[in-house]
Amino acid sequence: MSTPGGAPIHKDQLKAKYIGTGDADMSKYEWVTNMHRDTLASHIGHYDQMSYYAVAQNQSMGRVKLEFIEKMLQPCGRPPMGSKEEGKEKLLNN
Amino acid sequence: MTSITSAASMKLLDVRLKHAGSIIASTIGEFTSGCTSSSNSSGGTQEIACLRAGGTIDLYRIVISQPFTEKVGDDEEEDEEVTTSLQLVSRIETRSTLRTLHALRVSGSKRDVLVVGSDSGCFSILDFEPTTSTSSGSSPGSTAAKLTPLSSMILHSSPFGKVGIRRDTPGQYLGIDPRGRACMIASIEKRKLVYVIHRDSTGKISCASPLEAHRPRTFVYDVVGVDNGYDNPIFACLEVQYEEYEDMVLAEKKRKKEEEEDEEIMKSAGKSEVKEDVPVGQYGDGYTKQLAYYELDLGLNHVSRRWAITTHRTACCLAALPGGADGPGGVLVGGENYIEYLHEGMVPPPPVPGADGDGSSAKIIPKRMICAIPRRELHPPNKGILITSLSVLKQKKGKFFALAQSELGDIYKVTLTLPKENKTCVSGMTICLLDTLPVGNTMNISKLALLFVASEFGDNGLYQFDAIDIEEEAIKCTSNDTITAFLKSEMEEEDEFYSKCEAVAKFAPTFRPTILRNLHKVFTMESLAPVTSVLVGELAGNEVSPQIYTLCGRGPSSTLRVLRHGLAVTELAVSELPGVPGAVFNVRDDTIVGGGKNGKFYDRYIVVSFADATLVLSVGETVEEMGKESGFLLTEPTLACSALGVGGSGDGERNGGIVQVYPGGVRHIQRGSVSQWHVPGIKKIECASANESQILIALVGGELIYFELDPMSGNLMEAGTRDVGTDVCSLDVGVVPRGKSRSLFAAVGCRDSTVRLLSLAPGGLLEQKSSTALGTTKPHSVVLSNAEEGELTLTVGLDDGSALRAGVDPITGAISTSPSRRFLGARPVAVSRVTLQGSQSTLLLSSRPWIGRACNGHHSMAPMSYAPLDHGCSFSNEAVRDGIVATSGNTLRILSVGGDSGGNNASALGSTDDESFNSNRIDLRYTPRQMCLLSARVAETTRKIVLAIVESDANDFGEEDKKAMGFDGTGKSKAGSKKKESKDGDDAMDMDMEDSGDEEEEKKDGGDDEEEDDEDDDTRLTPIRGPVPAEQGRWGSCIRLVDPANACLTLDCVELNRNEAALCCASVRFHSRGGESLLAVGTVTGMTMHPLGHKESHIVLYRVVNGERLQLLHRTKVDDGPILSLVHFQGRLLVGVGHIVRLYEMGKRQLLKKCELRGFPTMVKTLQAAGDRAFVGDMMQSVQFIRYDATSNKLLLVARDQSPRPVTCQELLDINTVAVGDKFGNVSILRLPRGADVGAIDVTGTRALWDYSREDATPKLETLCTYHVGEVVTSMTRASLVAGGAESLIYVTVTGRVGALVPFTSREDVEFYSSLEGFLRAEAPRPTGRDPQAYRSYYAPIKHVVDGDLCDAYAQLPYDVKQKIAEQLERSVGDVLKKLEDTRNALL
Repeated sequence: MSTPGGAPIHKDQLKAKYIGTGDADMSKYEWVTNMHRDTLASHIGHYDQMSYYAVAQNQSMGRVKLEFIEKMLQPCGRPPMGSKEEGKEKLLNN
Repeated sequence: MTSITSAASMKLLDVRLKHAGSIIASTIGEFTSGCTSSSNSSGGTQEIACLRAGGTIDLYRIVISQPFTEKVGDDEEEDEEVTTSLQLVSRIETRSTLRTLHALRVSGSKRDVLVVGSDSGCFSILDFEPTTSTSSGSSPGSTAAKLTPLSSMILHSSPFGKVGIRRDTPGQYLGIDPRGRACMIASIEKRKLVYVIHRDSTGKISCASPLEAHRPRTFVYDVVGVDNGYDNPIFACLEVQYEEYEDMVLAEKKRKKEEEEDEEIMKSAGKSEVKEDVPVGQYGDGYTKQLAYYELDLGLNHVSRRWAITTHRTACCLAALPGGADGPGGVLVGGENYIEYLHEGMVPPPPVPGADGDGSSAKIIPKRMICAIPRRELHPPNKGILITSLSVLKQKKGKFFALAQSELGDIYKVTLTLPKENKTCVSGMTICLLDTLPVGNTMNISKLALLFVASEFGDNGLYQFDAIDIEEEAIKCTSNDTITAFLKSEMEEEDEFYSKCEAVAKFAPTFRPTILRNLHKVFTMESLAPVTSVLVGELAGNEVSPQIYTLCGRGPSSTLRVLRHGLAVTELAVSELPGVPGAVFNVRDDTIVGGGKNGKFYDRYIVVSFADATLVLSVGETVEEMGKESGFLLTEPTLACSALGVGGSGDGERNGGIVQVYPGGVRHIQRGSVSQWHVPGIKKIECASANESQILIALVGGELIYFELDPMSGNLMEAGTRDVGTDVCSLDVGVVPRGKSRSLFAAVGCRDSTVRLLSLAPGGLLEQKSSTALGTTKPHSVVLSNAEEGELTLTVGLDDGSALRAGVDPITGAISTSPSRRFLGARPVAVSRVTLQGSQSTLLLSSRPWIGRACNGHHSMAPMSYAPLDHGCSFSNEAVRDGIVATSGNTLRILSVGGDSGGNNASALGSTDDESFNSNRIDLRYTPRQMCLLSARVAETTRKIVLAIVESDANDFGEEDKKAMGFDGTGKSKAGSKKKESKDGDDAMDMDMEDSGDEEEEKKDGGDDEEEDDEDDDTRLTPIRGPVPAEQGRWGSCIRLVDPANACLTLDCVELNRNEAALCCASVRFHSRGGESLLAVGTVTGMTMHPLGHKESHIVLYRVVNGERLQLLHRTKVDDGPILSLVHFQGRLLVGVGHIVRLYEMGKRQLLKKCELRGFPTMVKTLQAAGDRAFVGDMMQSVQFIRYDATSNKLLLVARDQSPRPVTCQELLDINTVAVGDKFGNVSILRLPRGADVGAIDVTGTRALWDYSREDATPKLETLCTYHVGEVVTSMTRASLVAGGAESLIYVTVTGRVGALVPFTSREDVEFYSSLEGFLRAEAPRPTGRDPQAYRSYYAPIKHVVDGDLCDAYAQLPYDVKQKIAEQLERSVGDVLKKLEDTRNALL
């Protein structure tokens, strides 16, 4: 890939500029984390969706919003570790 | 809905019936002051700008004083009751998803502009400016209550990024430099843009391209502009940075390794201790929340991260304190249980005097200026209370205070102690409880001692402060107490101590929420949000048109609201008359010197005319019958009467007396003496009309005679005659415009089906100016009115029950060529002029009473929610400003329109479409979920319709538990118990917070409250959220039976206990039980949301006994999942259980399972049935059609949808078509293609099971229409809003909008609307820079739906653009507007 001027763009550069950019070596965990972050951000931005959740949970919207942003830090928990998970992840990626 | 389904391709028009009530964010400022001559002339008028869900920006002006005060008579205002209201000044449709807004005052400017953050990827600044400031205040009609036409100007709208709500698209947060020099617009993650705002020499605002202050992998919680005097602007951001993925993996590996090592050590030591992970979002989870200052260096034109400090881990909101010369600067940070003060270079809090003595000096010196908030008595100690919004008011002389609201709704006042010698450092903080209000999104404090709270759910309120210096006696906590508590504790780390909820619970003072003590409500802005269910039907039993029943609200503010189209009417008096009257008139009172208060005239007499007599009633304290002393001729009917003269002077010189026209002549009553004019010959006067100076009478045969008041002599002079050649049905001479001596035109309705306009100008007296033909029908009544300044309108009531309205040229007298005609009812229409809210309106009486009004530049016609009336005219006295006196049968009624006389009038009449519905509210106990109609047998033959509502609240206790805990939801605990409680509370406090003096103070308070209870009870009532359970999975729930025919009184209410929650209900008629309508309720016990789980679920069956009581028949336990939907299906009950649909038959002890269909994708959310088909809405995967095969007793999948839609509601349009609303705010209409089911359905039922799961084997539904409403649609129903009208799809949204999707009935309409929409997409202003078409195609391209809101924007366009579009549509501007109006009228 290159810029309109012709200078090549490195993958890492692209990733840094556009958050959530994927690549072939991306692990499933990383991809899912990105998806969840996008979804949560969309929920936070749409007031109507926030109120839908707030009514369902019977909590204030401020609390729901805080919980959603906090959830964006680790939407899918910690990265999977250990031999078993690692193997599984590799399997899924292949 | 034949018209929908018969057309091969369906086309719908989206019409908004009621605006969304929710306010996303609001800001206070002076947006228009200096440009308007509003009643409040001292200083600027404060206005509140609100972002409404659904893409509307509303500007409300705070109006204090009598709502309709004229500018004259200011001196008399003192003795009047002051009312405060919010008056809609301007409304902007943005057609985008709005997120935040802020007022911005550019330095040197006199008023504020509005900065809006939306999904458009544009930075937009809006300015409100009045267009026509010339006409204000010069006419009798224009008062403060009238809308000044305001146009918004888009000052700046520059794109900076992608459209949409992405995590890195700025627009979620706005920080404004308090001096108006710069503005930061931030996204949730990473991106922050800073715009420097300039003002050029002409005062125009401009911005340069933005400066970037990005920080990778950083989530922002809040942004605020720090008050920094005139130093470089600084923005404070609350943010958390997360690690990079690679680092995360490395850290995780390291952690795992350490853990394993630890485990081994533990094992070798023989202990088995499991280290628990700290959940993300709490202290110790590995992330730090920082408050960072971003400085914009104006010299270098560059933004840098200047300073950052770790703050409370749960912090979520910020507020900037006044700085520079006015205060200490810095920000308040609100988090769980605490509010902290932070500023760069702040000094640590001074040592606490009390804490030094107990030997803890060895501990580290506390650095943080932090203060705990008082807690609720019943709040569990392991749960924190989050501060969700903060707001600061800068007062005069460098004083200021802040208000904070918690997630429970409690409002706290935050005051900072500043030492006398140095006003820039903070030495202490006090937080005291102010009151409990509904939980708000934002709070705006006005300088006029008002507080506006934009509630998350339920009505928004404007509150007046009764007391604000409450530090002495209120329940409070200080920073000293907090720091002392920390020093006393054993903990080493400040952060650790402040993150422990149990620690706060130990030392923070507690209180019990009560009614409002320091505030009272002065104005309510209605909001239906959230609406969970809607039902349309004429259930009241005695009304003409159907009502809309909506389930609204959440928790303690839950209501059932009955919406009726039209204006609310209050009946003030009803009295019997001796006969059936033929007409009613009012006569202005001229006797009061100065013309009454505020230049307004009250009425002196009500004149009622009968067939052979006249009754004169005098209006005073009471309405009394007058005898001969009134001077009226009482033995003849009255055709017209009026007070003469300019009036108001009262000195008799210009007082012209009263004129009465009776069939035999004209009688002029002047200060005791009576002069008469008799009709020459045997002719009789057929009809007549009179105003202050002109009288026009028509004799049988069509001879018109015109009289005018001679202003010098005060006598009536015959001025001219004319023969029109045909009998005259009705006459009107119009009103005398203010400042003029006569009305220039008279309207004459003739029996030859024409209405003629005659000139009354001295030049061409009684000369015909124009005429209009009415076709076959005859005019019943005519009225000329000038609703707006300089505009003349002719309204004709016709014999066939319709009304015709046409504009009249005020100079030439030409009647406009495109009159609008509307059918009003089954009786001839009687028209009269009335004054409502200070503006000229028309009262149109047919089989339904209507009010026609001009507002916002266009005419609106609304029915009154009242019984039919025969005759009416306006009425006003001291108690009733703008009333109507009317007759119905042989009764005389005095009515007031627009709700009660409270502060709500303005909202009821002020806006264009919100007033078109009036609502009745019935309070409920918990959040309502669903409702259904039941037909209950009352006697042998009679049946009664009752409404069953299921209510349930998650995260709450049931009624009994609450009682046992001593919680009273009304807050109106008796003074005695309150005193006791407060004592108990004091005992419970471990600190000597309140000495005995305070306690006495409180006792006195209690006494005061009780007195106030009696006085203005309802302004002090506030919904109070019940105690929060300590653990998940607690529910409060009940099933209610309501009688819609009897003002929606509750007949029965069954409380469910044991954490059981009723989530759905349906009426079911089991064939095996003879078709009796039973209530089936699906309940879930102990349901938790995160993770989704429950203990057990039941189907509970109730019988309605006698139409008034619920009797439990039996309960059936159901396995496999929660029940979210039930439906009656072919004499059985179809139930959605988790991902299974199951058919039940009624048994003696319980329901009997007949058959089931498994394998729905996630969970069955909605169910509907028609014939042998059922329609299943899945929580994630859209709709499936299933069919019941009776021979093989099997449920079979017929078809499914192609696209995944998270269904929230559905409505059946016909057996092949279903409308679906999804979680993203879209409405789609899906249809089974013709014949698609024939081949696919296996009639024999022998098809192998595995075939069903094959995707390609199942027919797919076709998408007919797609439309992005912009708000989550929670319920839809197919109904007509007028009796006998065409059906449309009525939908409601979670933010309180009511809308309708109306099917087009003709090809022409489709073409007209499609092309109009096309033009408007290009021409309509885009305040946020969002493309309307792109917005309506948010998730899927818009298909076959015309955006009615966008079409309505036509009326607001400048005239030349209107003209251009109209030309392209080959119509006139008036025709286009009429067409738009007609469509709406056809619906309502």
